[in-house]
Amino acid sequence: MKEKLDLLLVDDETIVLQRLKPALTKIGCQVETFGDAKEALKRIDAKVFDIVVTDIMMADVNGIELLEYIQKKSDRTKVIMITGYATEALAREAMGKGAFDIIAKPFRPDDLRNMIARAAAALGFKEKIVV
Amino acid sequence: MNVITISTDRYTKGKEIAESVAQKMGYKCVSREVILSTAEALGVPEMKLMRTIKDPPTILKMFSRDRKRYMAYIRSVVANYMLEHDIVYHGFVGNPIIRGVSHILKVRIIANLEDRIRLEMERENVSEEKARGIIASMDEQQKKWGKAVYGIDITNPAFYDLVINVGHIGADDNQDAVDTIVNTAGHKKYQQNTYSINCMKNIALSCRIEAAFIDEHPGIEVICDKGNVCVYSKALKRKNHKQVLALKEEIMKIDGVEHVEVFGEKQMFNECTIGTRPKLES
Amino acid sequence: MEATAVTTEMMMVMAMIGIAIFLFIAEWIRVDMVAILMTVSLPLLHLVTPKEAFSGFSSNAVISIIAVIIIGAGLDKTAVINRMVRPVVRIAGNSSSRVVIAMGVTVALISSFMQNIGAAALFLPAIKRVSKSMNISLSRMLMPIGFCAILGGTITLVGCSPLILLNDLIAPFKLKPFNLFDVTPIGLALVGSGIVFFIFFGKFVLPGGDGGKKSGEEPVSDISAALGDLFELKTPPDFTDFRDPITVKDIRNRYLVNVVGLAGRDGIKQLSLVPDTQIRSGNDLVAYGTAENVRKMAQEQGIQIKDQVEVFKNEMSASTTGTIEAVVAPRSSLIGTTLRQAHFWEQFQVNPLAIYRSDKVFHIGLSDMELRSGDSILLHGTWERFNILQERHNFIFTTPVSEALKPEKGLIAGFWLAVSLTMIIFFKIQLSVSLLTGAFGMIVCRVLTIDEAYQSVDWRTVFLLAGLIPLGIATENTGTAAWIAREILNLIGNVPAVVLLTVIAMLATGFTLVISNVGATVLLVPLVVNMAIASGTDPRMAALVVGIATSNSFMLPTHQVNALYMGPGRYRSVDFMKAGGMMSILFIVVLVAILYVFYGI
Repeated sequence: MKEKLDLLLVDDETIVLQRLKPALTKIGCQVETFGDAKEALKRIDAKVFDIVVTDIMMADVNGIELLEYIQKKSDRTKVIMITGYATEALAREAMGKGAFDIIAKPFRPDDLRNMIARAAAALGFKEKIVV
Repeated sequence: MNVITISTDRYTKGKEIAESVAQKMGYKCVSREVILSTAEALGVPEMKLMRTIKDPPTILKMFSRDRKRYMAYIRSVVANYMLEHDIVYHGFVGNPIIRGVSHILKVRIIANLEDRIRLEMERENVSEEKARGIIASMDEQQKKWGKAVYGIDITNPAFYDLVINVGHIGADDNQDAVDTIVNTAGHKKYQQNTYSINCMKNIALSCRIEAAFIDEHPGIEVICDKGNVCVYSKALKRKNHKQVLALKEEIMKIDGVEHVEVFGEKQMFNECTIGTRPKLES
Repeated sequence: MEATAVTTEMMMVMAMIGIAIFLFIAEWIRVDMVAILMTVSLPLLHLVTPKEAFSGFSSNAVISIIAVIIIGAGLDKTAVINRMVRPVVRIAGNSSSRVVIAMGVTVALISSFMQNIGAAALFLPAIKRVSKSMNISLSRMLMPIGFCAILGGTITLVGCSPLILLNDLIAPFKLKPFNLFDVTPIGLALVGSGIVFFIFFGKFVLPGGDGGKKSGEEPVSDISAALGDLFELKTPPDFTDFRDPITVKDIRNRYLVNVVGLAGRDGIKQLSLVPDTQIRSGNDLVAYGTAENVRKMAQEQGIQIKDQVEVFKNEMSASTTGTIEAVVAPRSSLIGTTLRQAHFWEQFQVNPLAIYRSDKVFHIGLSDMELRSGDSILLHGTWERFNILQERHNFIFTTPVSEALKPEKGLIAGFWLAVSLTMIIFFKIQLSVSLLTGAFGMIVCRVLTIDEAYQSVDWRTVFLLAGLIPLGIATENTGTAAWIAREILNLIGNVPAVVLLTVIAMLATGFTLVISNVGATVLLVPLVVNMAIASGTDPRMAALVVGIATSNSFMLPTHQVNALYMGPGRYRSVDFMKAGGMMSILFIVVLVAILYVFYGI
């Protein structure tokens, strides 16, 4: 069983990547970040991640499309959606399309860490992620 | 936490359907009576509340200020009850209180108009014309009530996630309705998620704070975002510094409140809550 | 000299003395507890009668001390002392040494009818003020004046506990009691010698000596160097987004910047911030820090520095808020607790910025430091809050917070003090009765309330005194004192009175350093009286030497007055050992010389 969680973080807002990357690395995740969804897609082609955290409203490719793309690639990856435009409808759409969870921006790192811990547990990671 | 709300027009067998759904899902089945039983726990005056619950139209006759108070109490009780329990709620009094929470399934059950008229004729032993009139006025009243209390037309199917037309008021149609509801509730898109849970908690806490302070602050508005509370009350403009601090301290005492900001100016309040307002389709 | 047998009783007494001395030094239990232990065990061992065991509590000494403390508290409440300082300083003029002399003399005179520590504490704010306005380094003022406070206690018979005790202790020997001013020539000579000592040797023994740049430097620049300047900042709307919470404590620990005020988006300002207070989005904050540190913090955390203080302009104005240094008072309830345990921020609503202990400054970890007597805390807050804080008697403020105290009461307080003194001097009424009358008079005239009077009495001292007196009685009654006296005389042989008195003075000095002045007096008086009788010296003089020499405690910074002045003066233990050691020797020399010359031994 591998040690670290492979995590992909996609968001076109730099502040999100800047602040979340260290916060997540702290709890034992191997974090890769992308500000451009297209680049992220290429990376997803190359590697299967345990968890993908992605924004929904992005310029070229939106998060929902990313979600669908990932699911075609691997049904193991847990996708967590983050969005500044959360609504009841959007949440239902994301969940309906198979997202593991969704949270509204802005949030504190602990909120995301909790979600990741649950995703890790769902993936069968024996090591408890310390939040 | 898991909630299915079932709203019907008069005489459609909402209660039976609700009970069956509850049984199948393993939830409790409740209606407006629950408001009374939990009112005490939330420190809300029970006696007066009883009248508003037993006879919903009374609330229309109240002065706007009283009406707002009682609705605040009702909202607080219902929202917090829904947060703590898995339920099927039927009836229209507590129905549209929680909106915007993606894991709450809102069901509207309607029946064929002609069937309803026939049933009315049988029940009251009146002519078809009379029966039609009665049904129409009842529907009108429900509309009015919803508008006055919630500001929306609760008979409008657009507010619901699932609308079921039970053609005949027969037992087997009920079973279909129950099955449909249960299946829909199990769909992925109605599953709990962090966003929806937070929305629910935010609403429940806001309602709780509003109910606690509405007596002294009739125009109070509260918006919560995970323990961060923003409060607006026009009355604050007339309060001195010490009183404002005292209010903040009182609010801090409520379970779940971590931080409080209070505003006497609507504009500042709006600016600060622009991101955290619950987004509702109106 | 005939040898006498050592009885079992004598051995028990010596054992008890040994235990007492050991416990005093080891500090396993508190000093007053040791005294009570004696009070309780001596009658059980049949070394004293029960009546004798508790005679201390009704002794003149204890009553007098209680009365003196209450009188001192009354004077303190009316700020009489502070008002006395101004004319004194004016007379002294511009020379710094003249000012130190003037204040030293004043504090000595005040200490002559008040407890030393009371006088020293009363003077602290005044000294601080003079130091600032006349640009004299605090470390050059505090130790000399502190020593004068101790020396002043030898001017009258009520100046310090040992002297108050004296008459009670020599009574069993049927010796003539002392009058109030019998010791005055000696006391004045000692004070004079202390002042002269500092004039000539001050620069060698005091730190910061001749205007050198060390920690005892100008208090004002000390504060501003530590504090930095006041800045106002604003956090952006997305400050808290995607980030773990940042607290006031984090900012202090990471950047040595002290946030003293926080305003939320609702404009409500908080001026006393618990260390765990979070800094949130859209907050306006005011903070003290060096420009460098503040800029570093602003850059790393993404906070904007404003050009000037605007939101907090009124709150931070000099008339509303300020920074002061508060010394933890000797009997403060905060001693032994930390600021966090005492819920300091919630209770007092002022911000601690730094703690000075000995010559060290602590900027971080303040909330978890166990406070000690003499710790000097730099506080920031509103004058309103400081006033409230002052009422609680937890701190001695080195900057006077308010002088809006009742001047009429000051006259009344002074009047009753005069009444007491008149009764003692002119009507020859017993010390205890006269002093208690004065104290009672002050309470009746509402200079202070009876509850405040009770609160002001340090029961530790009372029990210490009352508890050790039976030990002295036992020592005399069983003949232990006589026996030890004989043994010592055998040791040192036949010596002239001068030598004997010098030896006694040295014994008293040594004992007072380890077992407190009261303990030393109680144990030594019976001893030296016996010695004196046996060797043909005047026993009253011998007792007097003990009464005076037990005040010779300049070397250890743990002695009350020294401990109090150590923090504000930024002294190290070694400073006290240097100056104190020399002063102690000078003390003994002057004492014996005066006795020889003026009292004809």
